[in-house]
Parts: sequence; C-alpha cells; structure tokens
Amino acid sequence: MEQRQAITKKLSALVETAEEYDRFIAEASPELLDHATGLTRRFLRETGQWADDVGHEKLALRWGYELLERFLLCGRGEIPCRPFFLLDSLIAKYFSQPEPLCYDKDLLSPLGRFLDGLTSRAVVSRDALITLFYHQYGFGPGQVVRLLGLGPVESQRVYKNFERWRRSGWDRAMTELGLGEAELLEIEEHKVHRPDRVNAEVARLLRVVQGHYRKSEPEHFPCLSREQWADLFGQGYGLDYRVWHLALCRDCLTGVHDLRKDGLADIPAPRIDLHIRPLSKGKVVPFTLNHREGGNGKPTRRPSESLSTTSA
Amino acid sequence: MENPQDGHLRAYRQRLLDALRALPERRRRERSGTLRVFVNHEGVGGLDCDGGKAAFVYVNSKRPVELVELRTEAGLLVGSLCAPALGTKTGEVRIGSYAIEVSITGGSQEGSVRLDARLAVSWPRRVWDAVAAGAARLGQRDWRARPEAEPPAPVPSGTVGPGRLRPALVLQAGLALAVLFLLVDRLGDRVGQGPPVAQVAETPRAQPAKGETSLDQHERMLTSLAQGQDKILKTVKTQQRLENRVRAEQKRMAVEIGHLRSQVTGLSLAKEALVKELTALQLRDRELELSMRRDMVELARALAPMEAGRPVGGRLVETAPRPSTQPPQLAEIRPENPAHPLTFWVSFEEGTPETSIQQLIQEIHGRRGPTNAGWYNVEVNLPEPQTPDGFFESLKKTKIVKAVTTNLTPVPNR
Repeated sequence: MEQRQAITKKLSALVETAEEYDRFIAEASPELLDHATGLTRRFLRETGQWADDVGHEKLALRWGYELLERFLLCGRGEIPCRPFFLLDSLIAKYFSQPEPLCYDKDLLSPLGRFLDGLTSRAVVSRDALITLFYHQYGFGPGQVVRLLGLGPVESQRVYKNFERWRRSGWDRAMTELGLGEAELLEIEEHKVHRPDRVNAEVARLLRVVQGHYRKSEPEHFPCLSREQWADLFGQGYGLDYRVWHLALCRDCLTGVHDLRKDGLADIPAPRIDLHIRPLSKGKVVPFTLNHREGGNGKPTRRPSESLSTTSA
Repeated sequence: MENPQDGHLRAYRQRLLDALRALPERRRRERSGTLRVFVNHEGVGGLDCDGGKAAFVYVNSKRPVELVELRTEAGLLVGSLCAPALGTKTGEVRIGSYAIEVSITGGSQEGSVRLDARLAVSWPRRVWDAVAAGAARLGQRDWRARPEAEPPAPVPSGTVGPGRLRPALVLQAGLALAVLFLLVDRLGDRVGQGPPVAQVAETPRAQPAKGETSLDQHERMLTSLAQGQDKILKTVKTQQRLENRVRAEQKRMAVEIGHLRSQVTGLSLAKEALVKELTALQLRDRELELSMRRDMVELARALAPMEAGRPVGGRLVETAPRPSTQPPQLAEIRPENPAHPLTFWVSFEEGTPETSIQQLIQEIHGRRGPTNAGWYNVEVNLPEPQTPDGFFESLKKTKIVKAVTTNLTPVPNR
C-alpha cells in the first residue's frame, strides 16, 4: 500500500524545468511504458478488438512504446507540467481519432505483425518506405530507381536508404516490433515450404495494411488514372508522390509497370515475393526471369541485378 | 513454473525500455539531412537541411493544427511541438549543426505551421568559438577547483529552448578572457624569474634573452588575436550588409505584389462592369426583338382592314373583332375573303428555344407540320393581296428565322 502510494506520488509530480523533466522520464520510464500499454489495452478492449493472448499483448506493448516515444519529446515543450497526466491526455487524443490503429486479427500472427510493423514504419521512415519495394516484391535499389523513373540525385538517396536500413534500421524495427529470431525463422520456413500460400497470404494482408497506412499521407493517398500516371512520368514531376504512393499501392505499381514496360524490359511485373531480411551488401537480386520467349521459342535469361557496393 | 510466453513478453518490454533510454543519445548523434514534417500524425512534406537555410510553410484552413513532429529519413523523432489553443507558439529544435525554429499558429478551425532551418553556427563563428572556448576553459578552472559549482548545462537536441547570445558579445568575452590569460601567464613568468638570480649572475646574457622571447611571443599572440578579431568583425559586417540587402529586396517584392494585387482588383472590377453592360445589351436586344414582332403584327392588322373595306358580292367584310374564344388579334387578322393556303419550310437560328418557335408560328397563324432535319413545315392562310414573296421577306426579317423555302431539298451538310 505504501509502495503504491509512493509510486502514485512520484508519477503525479510536477516538473518545472527541462532537467527535472529529463530526470523524471529517466526514473519513471518503466511506469510510463506500463501506463501507455495499459491505455492501449483499454482502448482495444473497449472497441471490441481485444483477446487475452500474446499477440494482443505485444500489440499493446508496441503501440504503448510508440505513443510514449512521441510523448517524450512533445512533453518537453509543455513544461511546467505533470508529465503523467499529460501522457494521459496525449494518448486519449490519439485514440479519439476514427482509426488510430490498423487492427485485424490476422495481423497478429508473426507474418501479420511483420507486414503491419514494416508498413507502419514506412509511414515515418523513408528508409523503410523505399525498402518496402524489396521486402514485398524483391526489387533492388537499381530496379526501384528505374521503376520510379528517378533522377541521379534521387537515386543516390535510394541507395542510402537501402544502406541505412541494412545497417541499423531493420534491426531496430524488428526489436521495436517484438519479432524475435524464432518468429522470423518460422516465417522464412513457411515461405520455403509453401511459397505460394505465403505469398497469397501476404497479398491479402497487404491490401489491408496498405489501405490503412496510405491515409497517413493525405496528399499521396488517392490513386491516379493511367492517363494521369502517363502525364506524371512524361512531364517528370511528382517524384515524392511516386515514391510514397507506389510503395503503398500494389495496384498502381502494377499499372505503372505496365505503362512503362517498354523501357523496363529487364524488370518483371511486380508480384508478391516476400523477403524478411534486408538486402545484404553485394548480394545479387535473383529474378527468376520468368522467362521471356526468345525468337527461336526458347526462354531467354537476362543478366540479374547486382547491388552496387558503393554505399552512403 | 513461468509461462514461456510471459518470458517473451518481459524480454520484449525490456528491449523497449532500453530503446527508450537510448533515444536521447541517438538524437544527439543524428545528422540533419532531409526531415519529414508531420502535422496531426499525417505527413505533409519535407524540409531539406543540407543547403544552409531552408523554410517550410503549411496552412490548413479546414482543420486545426494540434501537433507538429519532425523525423529523419531513418524515422527517428527529433522534434515535437503541441499547438496552443489560440495564438502562436514557437520552439526550437536542434539537430546536427542546424537549429530549426518551429512556429505553430493555432485556432479552432484552422492552423498553420512555419519551419525555418538555419545553420546554428556559421564557420567563422565556429573558428572563433574554438579560440574563445580555450580561453574560457581557463576561466572555468575556477569551478573545477570548486567542485560544488556547477558547469553550464549543454542544450540537448530536440528540445524547446531559448535563442543564443549575440555573437559579438561572446566574441568580446572570449577575447577578454584570452587577454586575461596572457597577462596572468606573463605575471607568472615574472614571479617565476626570482630564484634563478644566481643563474643570471653566472650567465648574465641568457636571462634577459628568455624574458624578451616570452614577451615577444605574447605580443605576437595579442597582435594575431586582434587581427583575427578584425577579420571576424569584417565578416559579420558583410553578413549584415547582405541581410539588409535581402530585407530591402523582400520589401520591394512586397510592394510589387501589392501593385499586382491592386491591378488584379482593377481588372476584376472592369470585368464585372463589362458583364453588366453585356447583360443590359442583351436585354435591350430582346426588347427590340419583341418590339419588331409587335410591329409585324400591327402591319398585318393594318393590311387586313384595307382588304376588308373592298366590297365582295355587295357585302362589306366584317372587320369588327369576333366574339370568340380566339384572341382579338387573330380575329382582326383573319379576313372574310378566302385566303389561299401557303405551305413552306422554315429553319431557325441555332439555340432558338422551342417556345420562341411556337410563339412565332402562332403569331403568323400557322399550322405546324412535320419536322425534317431542323426544317419546320408550316402552313398559313395567306391573306390577299399579300404575296408569298412578301410574306417570306417579312418572315426572314424575324431574328430567329434562319431560312425559308417552299421546296425542301436534301439536307445540306452543316
């Protein structure tokens, strides 16, 4: 009882300077994380999206962490304040939105958490966004540059994105998503033994997550018609839009590839090909070139893509 | 026995706590690059901080701005500011060598965000800061000797904090400390020269040479410090002149924009006046058309009594309006004399409404027949002595009539 009172007193403390705020956060971060997780759990319960299993617990932990990460910086600008109650108000504000989380029971499996986590990461990280083309379709940085019609400056950025994601971004994302090595190996094993089934499941789940997270970028949310895409590529504008929309819309990506296929002879049409790990440095991207017919009727192979070893 | 799932959850929670604790250090090490701007958790654009200076403006006239966040390309959150209920709130975010001023203007229905990124420290300032920092460290020897005194706290990145002191003041303070250090050092040398008097006696030439060398060195240092200060002051003045020029240019452009706006307003007013005139002309045109039609009717009326006055078989034609259900003008126009029917085809101007066509046919007391490719078949009882040509001429003068013919040939191509 006394301990509980001490904790309550500590958490309801008023901080008046930046130093006090930093000290409070450092000392109370476990309680703050538990509190944010508890509020997330309550939201899921009250909206009928909760079940008592590990998948839901991990979802609550993950979102509690993400909300707390936002609070840590935002709270500094509200000093003097009572951080505990400020956290309450920020989380309540977040959950008051119509669809704050992308919730689907199928997204609680390891594969679902991987796809949901990766896509939600892509909303805030350009590194994750660019590498979605690899994780979802197996495209390396060179193919991404040509598929999106990017110039030299933008293409350098793409290579940097791949490199940074490989170096540290992927590890950090897996840690924050709570995906351990065992779960990742489980997904990879399923993919080896039943690739079609896994890719079909990925295609189905991607429709759910892409539709939800595309709303995070209002300007990039709407899909363009074929004529509009032709004009966009023909006139050479909308580079940001291409990157953000095509990474999160499989239908438009397929349409764009079809529109530009004459100039993309060695890049096959986008099809779901899940890759769990990031593209390693120097690794060749093997496209089973599904197979163009040559003049004599025999399938012809074209040289596969090599990842450039020049990193940022 | 512990549930393995609980162990997984506990391990996950611990990893998240470790990640939270590592965030401040990650932010300190992060470089600027291109930052992504989020307003109310939605991406609205980017701010490129690699070019020295950058600005970003976002305005939403339909929804209030509640929260602004800045993230790097790796997704790291480096800045965050909540909007005020009303008015403007400003904060500063430090990332790498950049300082980004964030201004949010809040409202119940709308809001705006402005971001101004600039290099926090220019290169001449960095050079001079290094010199001043060295001298300042000597001044800070005092607090090191007194552990109870606190060193100045660094401003961590991502925080909202106050602006920096003016460069000139810090420059002056650094220079003063450097001069103080040199004086103290020189006095220390003089005091230290006491004991080796015997050496002086033994080597009378060596001692004065050592003192002169030290003094020369100090004088040279002071001279170079003063020269450095002059150069930096010149640079600061040049920068100020450039800033003044930019401000003047901005003012000039604001004036030009004002002129353009007034021109646009003038053109809009002129356009409105023209539209009003055009409407008035159209109304007048319509009135003239109606007046012309009335004249035609009057003319027909005038012709009819002349025919009616001629005796036919000893009997005068009745010209008084017949008490019938038909309107009076129809009774006046129709003479007693038997009229010969005339059938013809008439076409109308494009865009003529059906009601106008009907009205005209009624006015000439016609009977409408079939229609063929825009040609209307009409039959009228043409009163004598009016000839068909005369009738057609007067009909063609009607504004809505395009052409009249008695013999409809195959439809010409339009």
